[in-house]
Amino acid sequence: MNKELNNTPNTAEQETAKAVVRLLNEETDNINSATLAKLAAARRNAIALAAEQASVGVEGGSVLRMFGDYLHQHRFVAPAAMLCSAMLVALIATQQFTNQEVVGQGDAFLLGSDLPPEAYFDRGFDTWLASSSQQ
Amino acid sequence: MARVFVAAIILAVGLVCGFARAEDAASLSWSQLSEEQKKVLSPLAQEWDTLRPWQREKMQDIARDYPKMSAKQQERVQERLSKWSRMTPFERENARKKYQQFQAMPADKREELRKKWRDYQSLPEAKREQLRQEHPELYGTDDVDN
Repeated sequence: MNKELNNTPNTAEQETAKAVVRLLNEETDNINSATLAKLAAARRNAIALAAEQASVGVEGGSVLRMFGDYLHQHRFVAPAAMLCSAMLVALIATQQFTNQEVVGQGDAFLLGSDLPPEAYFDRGFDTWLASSSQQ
Repeated sequence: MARVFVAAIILAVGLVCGFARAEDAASLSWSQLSEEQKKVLSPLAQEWDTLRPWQREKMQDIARDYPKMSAKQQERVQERLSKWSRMTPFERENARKKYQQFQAMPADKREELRKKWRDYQSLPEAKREQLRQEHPELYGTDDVDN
């Protein structure tokens, strides 16, 4: 414990911490063997518990965490992508419905026009027009 | 981000509902049509339930536009509707294209074309059939699904 503290920056807080650690170390010598055994057992339990939680995190939670981290890092890209997608879908839908409108109206007014529908696709009429325009 | 997400969801739901309604409209049987639609589409009453969904949808579009038309146009629609429904998709598509061209013509050209159509109609059927055979382009393709 002392070794770790000696490697940290030498600030007033660290000096205080060192003093506390020194005091605790001095008192450690006075702890009886039963208490030392309890502390050692508690330490082992704590280490085992920490190891277990770490393994669970790797199996399941870390995937979600990685996904969350990715979204966080790309938090400006995601709204832009969604906005672009929404605009694309709206554009496609608009074209779809607009085309339907034009064709539907065309059919109704085509049927009501001066010329009957067959005049527009009669091969013979096309030939008749071509020959009459040459005369 | 939350607002964009909600907007995207609303848009998607709206589109799905819109397409679903279009599908529903296309699959309506004769008995499910409104009285107004039945009145306009009465020439098709006997054959309505044999029409394909996309044909029904087109006919409902015609019924939708019918009230916007003059009495003379409405009369023509009634006369021609049955024959229109029996035309092939290719013929209908071709008629649409030619109709757009006809509408873009000046008034005098349109009148001239109407006169020529009357002249053509006055020809004997044998002569008209001969003219059809002389047409250089290929017709009758039935793969345009409109």
